[in-house]
Amino acid sequence: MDRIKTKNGIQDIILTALFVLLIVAVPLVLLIMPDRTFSASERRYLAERPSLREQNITEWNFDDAFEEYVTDQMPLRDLFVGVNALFIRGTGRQVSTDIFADNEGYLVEAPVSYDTEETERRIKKIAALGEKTGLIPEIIAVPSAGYARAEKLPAYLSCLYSDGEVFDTIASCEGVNVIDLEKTFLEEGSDWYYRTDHHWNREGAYTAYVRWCEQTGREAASMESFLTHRVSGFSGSTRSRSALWLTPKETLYLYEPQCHVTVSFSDDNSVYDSLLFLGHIGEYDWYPAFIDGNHPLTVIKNLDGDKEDVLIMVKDSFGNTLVPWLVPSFGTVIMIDPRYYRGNVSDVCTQYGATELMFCYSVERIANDTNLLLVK
Amino acid sequence: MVFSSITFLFIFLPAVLLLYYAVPGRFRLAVLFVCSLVFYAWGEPLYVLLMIASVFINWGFGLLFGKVPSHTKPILILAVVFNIGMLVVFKYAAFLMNTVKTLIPFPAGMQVPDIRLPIGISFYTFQILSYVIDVYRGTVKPNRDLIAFGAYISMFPQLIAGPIVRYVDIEPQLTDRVLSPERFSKGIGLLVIGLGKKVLLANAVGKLFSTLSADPVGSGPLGSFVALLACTFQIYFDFSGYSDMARGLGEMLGFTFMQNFDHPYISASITDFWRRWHISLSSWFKEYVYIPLGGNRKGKGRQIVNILIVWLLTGLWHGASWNFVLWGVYFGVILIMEKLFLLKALKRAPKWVGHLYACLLIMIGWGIFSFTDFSAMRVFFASLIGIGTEPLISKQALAWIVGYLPCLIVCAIASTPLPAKLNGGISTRGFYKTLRNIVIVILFLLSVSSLVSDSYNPFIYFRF
Repeated sequence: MDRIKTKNGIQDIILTALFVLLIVAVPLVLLIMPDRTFSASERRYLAERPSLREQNITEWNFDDAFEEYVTDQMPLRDLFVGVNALFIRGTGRQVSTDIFADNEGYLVEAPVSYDTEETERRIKKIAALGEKTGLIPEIIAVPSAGYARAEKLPAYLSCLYSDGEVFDTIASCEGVNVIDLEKTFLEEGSDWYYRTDHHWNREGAYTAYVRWCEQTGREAASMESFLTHRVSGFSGSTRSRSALWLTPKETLYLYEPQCHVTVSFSDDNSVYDSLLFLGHIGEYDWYPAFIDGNHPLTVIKNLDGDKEDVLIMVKDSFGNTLVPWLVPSFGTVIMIDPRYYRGNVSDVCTQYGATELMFCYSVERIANDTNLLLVK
Repeated sequence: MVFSSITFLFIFLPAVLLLYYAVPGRFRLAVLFVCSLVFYAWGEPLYVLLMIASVFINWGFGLLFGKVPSHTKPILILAVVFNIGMLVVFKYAAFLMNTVKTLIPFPAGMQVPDIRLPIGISFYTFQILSYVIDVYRGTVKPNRDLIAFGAYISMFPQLIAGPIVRYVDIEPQLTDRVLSPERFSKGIGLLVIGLGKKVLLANAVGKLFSTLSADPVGSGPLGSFVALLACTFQIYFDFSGYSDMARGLGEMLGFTFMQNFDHPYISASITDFWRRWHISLSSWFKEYVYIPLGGNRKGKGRQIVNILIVWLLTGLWHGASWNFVLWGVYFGVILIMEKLFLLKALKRAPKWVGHLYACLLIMIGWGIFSFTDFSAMRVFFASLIGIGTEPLISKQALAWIVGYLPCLIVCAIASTPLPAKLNGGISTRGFYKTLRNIVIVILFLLSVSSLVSDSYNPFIYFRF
């Protein structure tokens, strides 16, 4: 038989009440509130309530599925995740194995390991394409933010970045024209990257454009000669991956050349008249505001440009913010993303009468992306 | 279901507490029994039947002792054979057959059965054995109340990771319990501290261990040493955290379970360590194996044999794998040496020598414990002494260790009696008690945050 004693200190009653309130409030909220289907901050669909009827007794995973469901549907989930991120950061650890926060609060991707031979294989593929098309491929490899901002990270972390090896490998390869960003980005020490996203920012992409102009004998247009839209409240990929919500959101500068353009995509029948797709602002990912994000093949016609000048740009998402600077120099720019495009790049070069061939990639992808091995 | 899950903390626990406190006292054990079965069935819908069967049969054995008092020995033998048999079939069958297979090739068509280990079987089997043996010895009376007996065996707070509660200790509490906000809040404190140990400390250093030990050669000797240290802390905070949670939940329901850990890492010898580590298991083996074998009453030679038997079994209890056998024998041999001469020598030496000696041997023990694969174990120990590794520590390992340094320091401090002393010293005064309660709420919220964020949550002590 239980005996219930009630003569107790107020402290015990308060703690008991508070604890019971906490553990009862959560299931009540779960019961009352409708389930959320998508988490914008995590950019993924949340788990749905598992059904007992679909369970097989010998391959039982109801317990795991249910835990995933309640964890995903936990009230104030983002707050909890953020508190945990702060706690981990506050106790000296990096929030995750793939995002580091540097001294200035920039969230940069953790280093990736590279294999010299693998990098060489990819550059040789690029050079071979050059030989086939009769064009010398220009390579713009963007250093990772952690490598370029090395001095902002503690030495025990910055020493882990080996982008330098990739740059050395690329430089040692023949048959390509390297637009060197390594020195510029490391030495000029400006902010080339977003604080909350792994991509380079307007200044980063513009600097690459200036270097490209210098090396190809062109005169760079001024940044001011482009139309710029300023949008505040940008929260990029590294911020959502780290859940360090106290990292302030930042300003996104969207720019486009003052020339008449048409844009069309291989996987979409419409023709657009702007490089910017401002409809993406306000969505969970704003980066596709540039050129509508990644498409297999994008055709940009500069109606004011010289029809003879045709650029084929093979790229990952870093190319999307470089392309607005390049468009005024060409009549046509074709962007190809080998992650989605399965045709021959050389055929595209022939079809459009390419006069220049460029590869714009992050160091990580130029060294590791297997799709680059399929480029021909 | 595990305690460190959102399902347990925010669905199961509030439901159980609500039911338990809402029903009249005489129905509480029934509520506890049913809830415990749900708790078990949640993750083991099939094996819960095994546990229910075990409860029925052993309840029957208990009654049989009373019915035929003249033939208690055969009943005991039957009961022990049945329970150990269940354990052997479900835990050791595959291991034993695999071992036999390496010695004598099986005839064609004969295969090693694929039996998954029922969670907690080692714990509840030992609790049942304590019951039948004690009834046989006449220390306790057989329990006629199936509900009460079932509630004891299946009691969810200690069902899957202990402490191994002996029936003799729990019997009075099955009939008489005191519930009070004071006990409840004490329970909250224990639950939350245990949760924090598991989620905030063990899981964190566990990550460090798994990263560094994945490539011991690459990590270098220093990296491997820190890996071993992280593993040492992980196992302690994981397991003692679980025991604390069990005790806390017990208090909330009006039960008091024994303290299972008493700051084992401040031990001055291995003998001392095993008085402080997993106390409920060591005392079980002492009570039901070592003493019945004759203990130290039949001469030195026999005592050594007895110690070896106990430690062989202790090793095996931890898992059906040869590394656990090695681990058990390792400690058996050290304990024998301490009995014979080492303890005397240690007593003469300065205190720090004993601590250093104990710490190193304990850590080596966890190294053996953590690698079920002997070739991986060999690589790990070789890297510890610098065989096959190049630098003292790799850049990657250093980066991990620097990041985890505060965690390791907190673990080291939390392994000493200092936090308990601090807690004990302030618990009576009003202001400090408020402060303590605030800390408990913060710890709870931090642990929940970590659980919500992190899917990394394996319970080490599930293998047993």
